[in-house]
Amino acid sequence: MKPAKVTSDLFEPLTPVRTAPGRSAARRRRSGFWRDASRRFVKNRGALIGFILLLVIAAMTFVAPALSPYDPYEQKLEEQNRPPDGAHFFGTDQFGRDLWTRTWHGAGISLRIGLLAALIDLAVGVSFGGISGYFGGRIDQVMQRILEVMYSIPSLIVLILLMMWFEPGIVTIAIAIALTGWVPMARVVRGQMLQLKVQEFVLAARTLGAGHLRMLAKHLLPNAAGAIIVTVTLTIPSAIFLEAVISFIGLGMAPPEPSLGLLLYDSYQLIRFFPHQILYPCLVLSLLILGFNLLGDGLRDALDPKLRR
Amino acid sequence: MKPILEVRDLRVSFDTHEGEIQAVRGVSFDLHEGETLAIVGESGSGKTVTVQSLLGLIPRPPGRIQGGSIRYRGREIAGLSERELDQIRGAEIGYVFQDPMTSLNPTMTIGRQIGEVLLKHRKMSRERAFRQVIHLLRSVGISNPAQRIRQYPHQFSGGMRQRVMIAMALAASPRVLIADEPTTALDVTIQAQILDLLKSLKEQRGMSMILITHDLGVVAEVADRVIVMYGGKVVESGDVEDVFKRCRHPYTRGLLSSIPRMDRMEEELETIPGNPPDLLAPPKGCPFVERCPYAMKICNEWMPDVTVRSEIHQLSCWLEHPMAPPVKEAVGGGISR
Amino acid sequence: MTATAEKILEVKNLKKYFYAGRNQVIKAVDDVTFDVYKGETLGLVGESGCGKSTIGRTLIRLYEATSGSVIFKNKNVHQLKGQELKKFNREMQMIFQDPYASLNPRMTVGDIIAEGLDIHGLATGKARRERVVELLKTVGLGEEHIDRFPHEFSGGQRQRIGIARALAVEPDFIIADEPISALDVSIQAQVVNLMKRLQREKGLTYLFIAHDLSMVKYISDRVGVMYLGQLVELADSEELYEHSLHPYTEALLSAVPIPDPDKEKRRERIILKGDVPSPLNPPSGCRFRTRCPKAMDICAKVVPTWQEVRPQHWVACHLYEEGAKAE
Repeated sequence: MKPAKVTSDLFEPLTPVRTAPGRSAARRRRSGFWRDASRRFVKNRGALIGFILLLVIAAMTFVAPALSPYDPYEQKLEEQNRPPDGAHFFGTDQFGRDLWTRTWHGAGISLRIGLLAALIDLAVGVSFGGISGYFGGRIDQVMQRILEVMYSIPSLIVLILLMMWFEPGIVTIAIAIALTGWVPMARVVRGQMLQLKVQEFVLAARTLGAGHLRMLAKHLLPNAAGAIIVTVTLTIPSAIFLEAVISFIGLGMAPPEPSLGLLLYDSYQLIRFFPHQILYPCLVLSLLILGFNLLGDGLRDALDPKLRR
Repeated sequence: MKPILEVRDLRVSFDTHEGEIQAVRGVSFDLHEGETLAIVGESGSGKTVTVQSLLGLIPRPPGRIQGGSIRYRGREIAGLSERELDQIRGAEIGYVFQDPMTSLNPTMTIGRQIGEVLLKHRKMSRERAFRQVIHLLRSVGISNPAQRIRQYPHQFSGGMRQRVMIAMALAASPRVLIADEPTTALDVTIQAQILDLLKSLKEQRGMSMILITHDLGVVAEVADRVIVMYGGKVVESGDVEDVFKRCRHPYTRGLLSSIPRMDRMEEELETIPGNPPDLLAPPKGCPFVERCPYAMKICNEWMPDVTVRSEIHQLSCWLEHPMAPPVKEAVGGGISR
Repeated sequence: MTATAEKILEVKNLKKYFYAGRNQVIKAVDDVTFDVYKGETLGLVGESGCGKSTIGRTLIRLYEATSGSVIFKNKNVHQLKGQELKKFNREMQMIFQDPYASLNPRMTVGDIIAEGLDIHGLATGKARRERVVELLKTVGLGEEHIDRFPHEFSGGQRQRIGIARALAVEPDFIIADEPISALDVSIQAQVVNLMKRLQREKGLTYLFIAHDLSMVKYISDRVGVMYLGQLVELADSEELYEHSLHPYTEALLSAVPIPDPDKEKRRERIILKGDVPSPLNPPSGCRFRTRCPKAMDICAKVVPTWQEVRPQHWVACHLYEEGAKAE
C-alpha cells in the first residue's frame, strides 16, 4: 500500500505517538470481574429465564394475597372443594379457603424459610470451611473428620428428629434445615481457601506481613465470593424442597399457617377427588425450585474463573 | 524448484465479545523442500495462528480465515473441508504442539495414541502397527520402547512426552513437520536433546520443517531461513546470516540487542520501549510504529512495501525507501549506510 | 559491581524437606550453604526440580526450614517473632514469577502497591497516595493507573506493579523468583534494566532466581548452580562461564543456545543423557553421577564436599577433591 504521492515531508520523524503505558484507547469497554460476569450472565437465556421467573413469583407472594378479596385462613365451609373458577382462580380446599391466596401466601413462607436457611447455612459453612481451609494442618484434619461424620448421617432423619424436638415455625425450620445442610458450603469454601492460599498474590501478602484478618477480608474471601454466591443460590432450592418434604410428612409448618409443603399435605388426602388442590401448589413449588436452579447455573457459568481471560 | 508450501496474503481473525481481533494480517512466505524455516515472534505476532491455519486447526468460530491462499505441493488447501484436511494432517504435514503436558490424552496409552495416527493414514495389520510404533519410539530416543509402549503419559517426564509427541507427528511419515515452540516448556538441557533429535530426524527422513519459537538462540542453532513476525505481519525474512548479521528492520535489530548473550560481557541491554500491539485496533500503518525509534510520519499512515534486498532477504520498512533519511548505526551486526 | 564485603545473608546447611504421604520425602533443598554480600546480585540457576524456588521461599520464611539456618542481618530468620518479624517483612521482599497470579484481581493497582504501607502503617491519606504515585513513576507507570485493575495491564506492566509493591516498604534485600520467565523477550530486557537501575539507586541486594542462564549471567555478579536440591558450583559470573568446573555446569552452559549462527554451528555440544532423577529418590553419593559424562566409582559412594577450589570459586565434585584421580 502506498500513498498516491510520496512526498519528502512524510519521512519526517513522527512526534511521539506512543500511547501512555496502559491499554490503548481502543479498549473502550471497561471490563471488570463483575462487569464481565454480568455480561455473560445476561447472554445466558436459562439464567435470564430463571431470574425473571423468581422475580415474578416473589412479586406474586406479596401482590396476590394483598389484592385478593379472600383471607388465607378464612374458612367458608359452604364453598369447600370448589374447582378453579372466576371467583377462585385455584379453587378452594376442604375448608373452603381460597387456594389462590393460600398458595401464594404459602409460597412466600416457603421462600422465606429457604432464604433464611441459606443464610444460616452460609454463615456456618463459610466459618467452618474458611477456618478449616485457611489454617490447614491439624485444625483442618480435625474439622474434616467432623465434616465427614456430619455428612454421613442421613440428613433427613436428623431433620425429622430436630423437628420433633423444635416448635415448628419459620425460624426453627430454617435452623433445622441449615444445621443438616451446611456441609456442601463448608466444602466449597474449604476448597476455595486451599486453592487460593497458594496463589502468588496471597504469598505476596504474607511476605508483606499481612495478618489473618487482612488475608481473609481482602484476599481470600473476595476471590472466593464467586463460588460462594453460586453455592448459596443453589442451596436455596434444596432448602425449600426440604421444607416441603417435612411439612408434607406433617412435621413442618403447623396448620393453619400455610407453606407449600403443608398445602401438599392438606391436599394429598383428596387427590383422587379434587386433584386441582394439589396441582397448583405443586406447580408453584416446581417453578420456584426451577427458577433458583436456572439462576444458580447461570451464575456459575458467569462467574467461573476458568472462562475468564 | 517450486516450494513445497506457499502461503500468500493469509488473513485470519477472531471474533470476541470485545471485538474482532486481527491476528494475521496478510502474511506470505514459502517453505522449500528440505529446509528448516523458523518463524520468530512474540505474543500477538500471529505466528501460532498462522501455522495452525495451515492445517485448519483454528476453531471456527470464533476464528475465521478471511483471505489468502495456502498451497501445498501446488494444491490449494486453504478452503478444504474437515475431511480433506484430515487426510493432509499427519500424512503430509505433521504438527508437534507446544505443551506436551496438555496435548496428550491422559487416559490412553501412548502406544495407542501413536498407533491411532498410524492406522488412520496407512492400512496395516495391528501387529505391524505395533512394531512400527516401537520402531518410532526408538527413533525418537525412548529407551525400552517395547515396555514403554504400554505406559500412560503421566509416566513420562516432560522431555519424554515431547519425544512421544514428535513420534506421533512423524508416525505417518509426513513430508513437512511443523513444530510449535517444541522446547519452550522444557529445561535447557532437555531442549538441547530435543533440538538435536529434530535435526537428525529431519535429515534422516528428508523432511522440511517449520519451527515456531521466540528464542533467537534456538533459531541460530536450527534454522536455515527465518521470518520475523510482528503485529500479525511479516516484517523481515531471510536466511539466518541475513537476519542475524545483516538485519535491517528496527524490530529485528531491537530484538537482537535486547537479548543477553552468554558469550559476551554486556554493560547494558538495549531495550525496545513500549508494549506488544493491541490487535483489536491495529495501527493502519506499520505495526511497529509505536515502538520504533525511527518512526516517521509515513510509518503511521501506510503499511511499508516489501523491499527485496536479495532473492532471499526481504523486509517491510519505510526506512528502505529511497526518500528516507539515512540512519546511523551503532548496534553490533546492524546496518551501516 | 556494586557489592561490598559485608555479608547481608548467611545460609548454612539449609534443608527443606516436604513430606508427601507415607515415607515419601521430597528433599527439595538438601544441605545448601552460601552467603550473599550487601549490594550484590547473586544469581541462582538450575533446571526444574533443583530447588531454587524452594530456597527463595524458605529464605523469606514462606516455608519453615527443616533444618539449618538462615541468618539475615545477623538474626536467625526462622526464630523471629513479633516486632522483629514485622521488621523483617519490610527488610526482605519478593518478586514473583507469574504476572497473572501475583496480583489480587479484586484489588486496584493503588491498593496492591500500598498494601505494605497499610500493614506497617507507613503512610495514610494524602501521603499514602503520593507515595503510591511516586512508586508508580519509579517503575515506569503513571498516576492514571492507580485506580485500574490488574487485568487491564500487560504482563510486563504487571511485573512492574509487583516490583512497586515490593519497593513500597523500602526493603534492603529482594528475592526475584523467576521474575521474567513469563514475559516476552523484548519486555524481559525492560524489566531487567529497571531492576538494575533500582539496585543502583536504592542500594538493593538481589537474589535472582531463574533458569535462563544468559539473563542470569547478565544481571548477576555471582552465580550459583543447583542440581536436585544441592549447590554444585558457585563463582563470579565471568569466572563461571570461562572456567566452569562442574560437569553439570559445563553441560548447562553448552546447552544454552547463542543467537549467532556461526558460533552455534561450530559449537561442541555436551548432550546429557536421560532425565533428571526424581527428588523422591535421588542417587547416592553425588546426585549428578547418573548423567555425568565423567563419573567415577567414588561418585556413587561418597557425597562430594563443597570446596573453594579457585579463589571465590566453590564446587562440589570429586574431580577436584584432594588426591582425586585425573579424568
